[in-house]
Amino acid sequence: MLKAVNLEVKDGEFLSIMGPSGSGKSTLLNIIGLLDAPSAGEYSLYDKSVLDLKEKAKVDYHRNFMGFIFQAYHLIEEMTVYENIETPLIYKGVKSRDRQAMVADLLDRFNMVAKKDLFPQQLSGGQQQLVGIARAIIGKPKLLLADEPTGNLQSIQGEMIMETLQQLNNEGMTIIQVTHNEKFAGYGKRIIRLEDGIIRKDVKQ
Amino acid sequence: MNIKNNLSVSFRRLKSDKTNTVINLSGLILGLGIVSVVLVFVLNELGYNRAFANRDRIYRIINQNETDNNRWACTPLVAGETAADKFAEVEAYAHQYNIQGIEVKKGNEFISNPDVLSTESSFFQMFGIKILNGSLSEFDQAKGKILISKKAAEKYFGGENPVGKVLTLRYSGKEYSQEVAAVYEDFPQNSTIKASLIADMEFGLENLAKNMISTGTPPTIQELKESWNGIFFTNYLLLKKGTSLSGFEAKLHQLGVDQSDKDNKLNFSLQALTDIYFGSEKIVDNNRGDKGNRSMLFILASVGFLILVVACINYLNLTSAQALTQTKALAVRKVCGAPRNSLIWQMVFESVLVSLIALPFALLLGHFSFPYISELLGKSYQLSHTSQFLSSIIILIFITIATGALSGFLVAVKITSFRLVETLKGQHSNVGDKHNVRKALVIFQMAVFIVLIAVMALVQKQVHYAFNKDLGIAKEGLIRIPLGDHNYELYKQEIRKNPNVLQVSGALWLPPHKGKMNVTIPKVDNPKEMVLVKGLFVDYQFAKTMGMKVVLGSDFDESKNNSGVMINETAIKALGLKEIIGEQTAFGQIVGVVNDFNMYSIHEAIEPMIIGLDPKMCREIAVKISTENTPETIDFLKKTWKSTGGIVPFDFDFTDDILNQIYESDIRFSKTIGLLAVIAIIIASLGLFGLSLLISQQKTKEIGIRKVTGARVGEIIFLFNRDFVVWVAIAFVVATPIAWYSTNKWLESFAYKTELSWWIFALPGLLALGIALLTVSWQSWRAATRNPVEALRYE
Repeated sequence: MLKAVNLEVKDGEFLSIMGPSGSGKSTLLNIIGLLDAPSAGEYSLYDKSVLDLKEKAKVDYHRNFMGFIFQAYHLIEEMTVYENIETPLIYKGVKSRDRQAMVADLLDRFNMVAKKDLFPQQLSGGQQQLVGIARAIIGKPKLLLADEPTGNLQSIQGEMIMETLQQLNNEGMTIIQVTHNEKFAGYGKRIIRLEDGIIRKDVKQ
Repeated sequence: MNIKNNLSVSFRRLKSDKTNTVINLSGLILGLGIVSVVLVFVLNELGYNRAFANRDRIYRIINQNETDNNRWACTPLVAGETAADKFAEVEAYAHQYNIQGIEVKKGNEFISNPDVLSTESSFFQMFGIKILNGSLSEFDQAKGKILISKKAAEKYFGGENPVGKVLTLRYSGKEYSQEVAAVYEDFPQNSTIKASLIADMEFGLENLAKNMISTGTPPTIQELKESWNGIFFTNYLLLKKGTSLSGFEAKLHQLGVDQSDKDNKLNFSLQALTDIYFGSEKIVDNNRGDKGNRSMLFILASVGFLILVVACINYLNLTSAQALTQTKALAVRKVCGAPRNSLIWQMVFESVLVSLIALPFALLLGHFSFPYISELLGKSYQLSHTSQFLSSIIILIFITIATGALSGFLVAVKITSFRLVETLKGQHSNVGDKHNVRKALVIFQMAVFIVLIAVMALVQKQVHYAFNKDLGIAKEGLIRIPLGDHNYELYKQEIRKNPNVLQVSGALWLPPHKGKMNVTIPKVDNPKEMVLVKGLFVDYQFAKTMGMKVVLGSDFDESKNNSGVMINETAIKALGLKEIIGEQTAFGQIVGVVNDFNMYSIHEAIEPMIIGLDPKMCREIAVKISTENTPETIDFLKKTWKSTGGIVPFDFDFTDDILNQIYESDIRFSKTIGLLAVIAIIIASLGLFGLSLLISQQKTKEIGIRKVTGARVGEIIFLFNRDFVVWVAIAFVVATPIAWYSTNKWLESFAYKTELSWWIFALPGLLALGIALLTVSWQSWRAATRNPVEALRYE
């Protein structure tokens, strides 16, 4: 439960939100990601208020502006790696040939070309998260939101994921992640500490 | 929306959850299969007489008989031609006279050919029955010609051309050689007019003159043709297009009035051809064809509809439960930018896909079960490519798609409305949650089952009652033998020689029977008042042989040589008798009164009956044999039959065999309801099974935890079953009043009813409970006995 949060995030930032369980980190992330709404207060994206948006407008933001990565990956089990990654493009109305090209690019970048016809159950945790990231970024969103992206992964896999995120941030993507892990929080450029619904610390690195 | 993508993802999902998919499909296939059969059947019934050309312009003349207050479909022969002559509105007319007792020579023997009628050549044009071979010319000129149906042509002539060949007919011992003039196409199955042989009017009139039962001198053929006093011919009129029905009917009515005299009052009206099948319940018809039972059809259609609803509800239930396993995936799609509409569309698509998969199997099921069900319902419909058949297929496809679409839509709207964040956390994946709609649907299915079983139990009980009720005759050792054209007196004489043959008598019809003779006679105390009585002709010793009590006076007795009439007890009041024995009725002097007996099925109350003595009118022999040595006695009867010149093979029945025929439709009805009840419970069980499977899959973790904390297998099973037991109990409470009402209503068609015992209603409830428990327990037992470590491992 968030009590009083005042937060401003600039374009291109890499923000890590940390805090104990129940501090409201995920809630904050959900609000930012328009998956949830605050009970009071304001929220603007690029100086436009995004409170009380209609469904259609929210969908618009999800399609064109934001990408999500989850701790549990949330890949669709009945679809192959290829199909999972291309899903956002289908909702954007991208033509089949263009989709093929875009997905191929990402598969290449993440070294997953050989795995494109496999199903999520056949991949390791790290690989699944990579697919999750690919899906999240294929629509070239400006903002990437990650809820404990390394929570289900071993150290080495986690590092790989964080490095990938860092790369993306260097390329200009704004990233906000929620994490427990001090070390992985450090990949970000700014760390916020949430406790009992209030920001206790705000440190730029 | 990517259709190909949707298709392959949907298929993968269905394949990965094979058990649930198969369960869901099975219920739907079963339901749709039955519906397809019911559809074809109902459409056939509703389409009776609609296959005839000009069907909307053909009417038959009905006469409201003033003396017995009944409406008669048989009217004077002369009415049709007079109406055609006088009224310009009549484009054509034709008669129908059904000829009974015709035998046809095939090879060296004569076989019975029941459906024969006589009419004019105008009939064919009027009703649109095509002539396939030969010609109708000169048919009306009574040159001894006969017309045969396509089936009859095959039966009697094989593949040869029958036109010009001779067909030998026989009735009342006399043979008639008729020349085949033409072959006509078979009548449509669903018509009230059907015949395999059609003779000309002269032939029919001659047959009528010979067989008429009358109370004076029999009329000549010429008199039959001209008399305005007739109850043997059905007059069909084809009216010109655009004729005002009421206007013409008034004219016809006036014609009847003009032709009436003080002994014969004619009150004409018209009945549409298309109304005959269902609208002739109270109409007396000597040319009776198939009679439709509107309430039975309604029941059948309702039950069919009910099964459909049960199957669809099941589909909806299972789809919605299965969909809960999909909520996460849908939430993810939302996050990827899917608008709610596309998610709804996706689910509708998948749901319609599954239901369409069920369709061909349902059609197959319908195809194979059709002959069996058709026989069960007492009709010999065949699946031919009529317009009714095509209509049913189209309707079925529509129902299938509608079921799939509606289920998919309802489910999709519900589950896409869940809050995104909660869904991703897994909060909306639990099937076991209190879901009121699903509960209500399961209860509904159970209630349907309970009602059907209760009705079936009651019908069975009533049939049992019909068989065991005291009919007023002594059934033990009573055999009946159809006489045919055997030598009655000779046979009687010979079999009496056997000491095991206790009594022999005969009658036109032996009770219980279907044959009816309605006569109106004046009351004895007030001859101006007429009363409708049933008639019967019997031989001497009738009452004694049948085991009836002679309440007053005596039986017809050869030794006493008494003749006259006997009556039953009900007739005493009906005829207004005081001294009874010795009083004079229109048919003779009363010599005796027998106890009331059930001449017909117990659907009908006992009516006043006059029994006349006339051994020559007997068509059935009644033999009372001793209960010892029955097989030997029957053998003796058979041998004696042959030795006294029996050409037709010996045939006999005990009373119970006859009862089977009389209650044929009721027995069939009970079988049909039973079948439908079984189907309903199979569908419901499939639904319960699927639901409990889903719940057990979901509760794996919970059960594991319970076991680890010390719960016993029995306790877990109890927990599982508790909910379902409550649901069945509610279903029972809801269903019982409906069952009570339905059974009462059905019993109303009987004059003699059995008791509505409590167990008729308790039994189905217990049965439902047992089946529910069985279905659910299996799942819960499996879940409860699984190793808890296994269950908890995949957390």
